[in-house]
Amino acid sequence: MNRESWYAEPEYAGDPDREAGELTDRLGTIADEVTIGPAPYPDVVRAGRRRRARRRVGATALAVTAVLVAGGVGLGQFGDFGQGGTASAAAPASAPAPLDPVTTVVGKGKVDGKRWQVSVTVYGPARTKEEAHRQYDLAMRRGDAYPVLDGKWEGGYPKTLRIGVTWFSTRVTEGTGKPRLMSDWVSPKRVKGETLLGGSYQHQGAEAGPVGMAWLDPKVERVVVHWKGGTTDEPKVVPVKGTDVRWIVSERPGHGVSDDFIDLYDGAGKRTRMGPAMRLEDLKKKLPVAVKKEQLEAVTKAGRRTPVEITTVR
Amino acid sequence: MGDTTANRDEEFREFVTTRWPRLVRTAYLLCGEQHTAEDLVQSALVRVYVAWRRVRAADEPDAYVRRVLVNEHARRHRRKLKELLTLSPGDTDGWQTPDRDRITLADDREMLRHALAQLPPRQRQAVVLRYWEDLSESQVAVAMGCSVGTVKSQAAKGLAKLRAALAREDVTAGHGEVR
Repeated sequence: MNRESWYAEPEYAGDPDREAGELTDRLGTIADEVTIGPAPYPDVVRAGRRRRARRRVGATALAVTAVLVAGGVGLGQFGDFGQGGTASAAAPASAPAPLDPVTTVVGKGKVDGKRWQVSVTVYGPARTKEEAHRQYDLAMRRGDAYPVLDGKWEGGYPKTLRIGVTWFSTRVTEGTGKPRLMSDWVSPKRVKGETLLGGSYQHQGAEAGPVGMAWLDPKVERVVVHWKGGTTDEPKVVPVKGTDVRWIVSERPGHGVSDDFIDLYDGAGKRTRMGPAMRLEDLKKKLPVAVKKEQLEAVTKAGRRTPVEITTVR
Repeated sequence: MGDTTANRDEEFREFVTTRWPRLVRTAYLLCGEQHTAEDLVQSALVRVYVAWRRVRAADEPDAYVRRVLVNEHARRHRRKLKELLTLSPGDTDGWQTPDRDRITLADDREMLRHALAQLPPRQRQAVVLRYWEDLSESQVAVAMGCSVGTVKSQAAKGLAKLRAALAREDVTAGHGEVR
């Protein structure tokens, strides 16, 4: 190809048509590099139908909320977590598309003159093995996931893939350092009336970090963290986009200070107290049978928490 | 009724099948990565599917899908800007910018690709739609949701930056002086 081109060739200067034609050709050579596969018509239609259905549900939910507000009924009255309530204070959020994750900054602050920031990225459920592979590629490229879950590989991908589940990863930035992946989790299954607490409280190495974090049942309205040493903190409860789970991030009163217990309040002001030992036991109890015992042990040994739901691809 | 739905589906299937290659190429020029380009087009087509009844009634379904594509690209770029935690320094909107050595730079396409990657998204959109899609300024304005004047200025700025960037790289790659 002639290297004397539209961008540097003097004779083209002042001849916009020729210049444009040259650029079109050159853009064409780049565009032609793309390998064009078959149009994913079935995937588009399937996703389109789901999107249409979500929009209908959203419109219905909006209408119901409008009726409740018009009738002077506060949504908080329906929240009775801990007692097995019949209505949720927060409508389940629609998960993002599997290849279009959404990120929410759930907390930021300053410790010892250094800024910190924590974000949660939510990945929507992959529907097929191929989609899970692409999602995995994307997550690895963005640094949102650990390389392997169980150490077994198949054709360049972990054998254990997340299919049909929403999952999220948390990242923290401290000072001017690079963002650091703290954990990647499968979203907790909603269990009526229960509050699942997790986060870096049990995460190895996180005790030295500037913050503690936890995910919460959507019905939790207010949280008070009691740190060892007697200080308390009431962190903001932040809804995370793409999921109905809420998060808190609480600044540690000092390096290495761990939490003593946490008080959770629902919309009606009812308190549930969570202690560290209780939370760990609760987590183990809540693990579904799909998670094998040896898998749990392996992850525990490695100092990582166990995703609560895993789909294994054969 | 069932027949109408079937017709709509068949029309949409034909639309997707025939437009897919061109849209993927356009998306590739906008975002610079094949998988991302396919995702972008797929997301845009999903939105088109939801509104297909309206789209097919419109005079120009292609203009509609281009508008959705550009919006989707802009939306993802805005989101990416917000996601400071996930961006590495030097990231350029997802464009693959491999380590450049003289051999790579000597590749004409590589140079243009790199120069294109350095353009701000709006300028890249204007350049790609104007010169690759070969749309008129008013068609680009519709796709980008802005005025014709904005298209003119964005395309001109983009073109000027491309010239400058390519001239710089030309010198770096030792391809002779640039006048």
